[in-house]
Amino acid sequence: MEKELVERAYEEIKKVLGDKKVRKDPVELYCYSFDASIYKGNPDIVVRTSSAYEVSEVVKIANKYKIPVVPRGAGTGLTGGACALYGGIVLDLMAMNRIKEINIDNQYVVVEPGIIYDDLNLELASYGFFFPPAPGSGSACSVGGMVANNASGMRAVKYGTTRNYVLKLEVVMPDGNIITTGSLSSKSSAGYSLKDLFVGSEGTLGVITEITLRIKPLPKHSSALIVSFNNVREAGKAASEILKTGIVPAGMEILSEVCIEAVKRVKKIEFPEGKAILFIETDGDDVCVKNDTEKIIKVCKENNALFIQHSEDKAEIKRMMAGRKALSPSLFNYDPRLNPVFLAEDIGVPISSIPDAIEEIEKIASEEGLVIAVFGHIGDGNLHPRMLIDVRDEETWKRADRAAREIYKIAKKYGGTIAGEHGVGITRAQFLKLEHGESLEIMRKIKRALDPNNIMNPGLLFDYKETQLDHLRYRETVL
Amino acid sequence: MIDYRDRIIKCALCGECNTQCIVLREIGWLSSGPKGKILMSGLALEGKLEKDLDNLYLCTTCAKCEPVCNVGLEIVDIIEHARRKLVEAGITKLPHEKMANNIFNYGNPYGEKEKIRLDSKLVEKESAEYVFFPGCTAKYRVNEIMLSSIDIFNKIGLDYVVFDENYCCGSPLFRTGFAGGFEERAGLLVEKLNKKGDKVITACPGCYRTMKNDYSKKYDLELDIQHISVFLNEKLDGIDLSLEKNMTATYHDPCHLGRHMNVYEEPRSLLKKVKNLELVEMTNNRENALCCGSGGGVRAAFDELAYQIGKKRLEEAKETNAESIISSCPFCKLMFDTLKENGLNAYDVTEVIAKSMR
Repeated sequence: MEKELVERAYEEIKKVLGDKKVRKDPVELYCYSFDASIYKGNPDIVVRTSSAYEVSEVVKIANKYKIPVVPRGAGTGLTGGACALYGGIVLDLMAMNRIKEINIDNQYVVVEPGIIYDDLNLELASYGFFFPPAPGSGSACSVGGMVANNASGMRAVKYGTTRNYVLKLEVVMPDGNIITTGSLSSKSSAGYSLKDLFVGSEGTLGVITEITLRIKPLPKHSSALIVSFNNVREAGKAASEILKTGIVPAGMEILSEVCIEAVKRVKKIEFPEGKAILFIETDGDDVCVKNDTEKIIKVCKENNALFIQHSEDKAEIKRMMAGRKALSPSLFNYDPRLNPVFLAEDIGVPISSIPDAIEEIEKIASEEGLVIAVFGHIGDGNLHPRMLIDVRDEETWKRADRAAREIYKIAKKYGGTIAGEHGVGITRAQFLKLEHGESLEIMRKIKRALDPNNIMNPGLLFDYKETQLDHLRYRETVL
Repeated sequence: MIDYRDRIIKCALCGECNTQCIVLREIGWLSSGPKGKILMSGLALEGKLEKDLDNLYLCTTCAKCEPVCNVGLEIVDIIEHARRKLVEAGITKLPHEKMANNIFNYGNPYGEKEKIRLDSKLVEKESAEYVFFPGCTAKYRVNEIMLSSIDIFNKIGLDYVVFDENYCCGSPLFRTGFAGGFEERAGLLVEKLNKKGDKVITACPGCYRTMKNDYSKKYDLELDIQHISVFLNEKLDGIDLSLEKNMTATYHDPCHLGRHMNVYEEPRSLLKKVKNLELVEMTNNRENALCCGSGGGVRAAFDELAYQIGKKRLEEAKETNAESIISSCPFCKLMFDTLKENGLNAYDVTEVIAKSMR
């Protein structure tokens, strides 16, 4: 980034927003150069805005000087989407964290992008409502980040993804204009659904400054099951058969052998014996939950379940789900030399292909001599193969790179997606064409039309000319 | 030797820690939160940008970030280690430096030159079953805590002696990065205390944490030490405790007693023995308790920030409709006293107990 332009932009932003909202001291910039991914991108300026007007003013200045703008929420993304790859301005939106309206009669909520997912749900719970997508990082991630990445999580099988809840957006466009798109109506056939264009756009088309979300009543009852199987194939078959009955579980998770071993060893949590485990949750009214649970148990038994644990008691459900929750921390402490890294960690395939996909990923792991812990939301076909590698060893990165490429081919082979719920970011930019083929060019044209100066999060999605191993944070610092 | 690089590299950068940080909530910029401080600790270890790493001192060491860490990192220990690196490089805060000099020169962080004046019978005993180590703040700044403690000991006829020497445990040094060169003094202190008696009681969570944990982990020194709230909870079982007037109070968990030493129930159990005292809980209690703002050298170096944090805690206390806030730490008491215009009476647990023994 040209120093003189940055300096001019800095001074102009200060003039509009005041000294306290703009920083460019090296340590602050350093702290803003990471998200939760394996990447690092160094911004030139960081701005903390508190209104759409302020965002608009900053974007106008950036557009004038053709300086990149990288919108940032809580920085919990796993793909590098909030890393300023090519410098420029990081827009910290976390001070914009108000709940502007809760409308129970019409079942929607209006929020600013910086509100934390769990904080929103805590407030909604007092009305008996919730915003369901439940990303794994729900206690830390911002709703703005969820919209920008179309995030979801364990409940997606029943409740869908963030996109299914976005009614309306306010967006600051790359020229600084503020638009609103969408409506409070639960359906619309009035022209292109522009709001859907912004959902999952990862900050490449504008800055989301206000979000209107559909909300749902909290379910009254729930149940949880932990079911073990001899192998992932049998677990996958059972999952598929459960869905065929018409039951839609609130969550259906699969843990493969490495995951089970990690949780047992690190967190000392015992699971029923077996080499694959399904966590299945149902919710709704009590009769419905009871009936669904009985049917699920029957299907599991018919499909060679080894052991079945079941409860409808809240405290017991929490205890049972602790094993699933403990997975991520367990993988960090599985081996002192190894760190989980986020490469090809979020593929989606049709549900019936899940056992094949898991076996093929495990074969890749064995061929490359890598530990890959495979788990995921089997109910919607979303797998999270988590590679554990020595991040200080270049040779291991090469093997991880090869493994990731092969995993993406598996997604392609089964007609799936390279990104189920974590977005594309840096890590998948080079593979986007694998999924979209020629239609990627349409996306590129949209981007050019809306952002002719290519200031909004440049490099992500289309113009990333490097590889998934460039911009790794480990090469530059201890982290 | 701990390799802090091996620890820091494990950080998931997930940001869960940031959701808990009271300092980040006040300031907003990432360098003021725990994730930023872990990143900055990495820089400190590598000797990069040292002169700009001042914000590493913006941490009260309250440890609220640790229980939510996805990796189980001891975040406060990492930050304290980074502070040691900064001190080695000469990057310090003036108030911390002054405090450290006072400890090394006068045996207390406040630079008090005179010993506290106590009845000679309390201090001249060669040895006793218990040694009372009040802690510098309870001696020189909030001495009602020391006096109340002595009052209680006398009333129950305890065989004890007060350690009245100007001899700091070193807690402020450990928290602010100045503990280099303290090992010999710590050893000498343990020797002196053990000469006076086998069991040590302290009224200060900072001293308790330091002498129990830091001494053993860092210096391999063992000391039989208890916090006074734990000691009294056991000792006063069956004794009639009653306040003259009814009081509704909320108990504030001091960070260095609660999250650092896992002491949550004993002070509550002790206070529940007191008739005419009604205890009500704040929303954030026990392991979720919010810091008072005093710890980690923050009050010394960034007093305005410390007061802002303290006010938030008092606002939460007021929501309970309690008329008083009771803590079991001289630093918390000092903070709540300073902010008393916010409308709550502040007491230490020892004061309440002393008052209730008639």
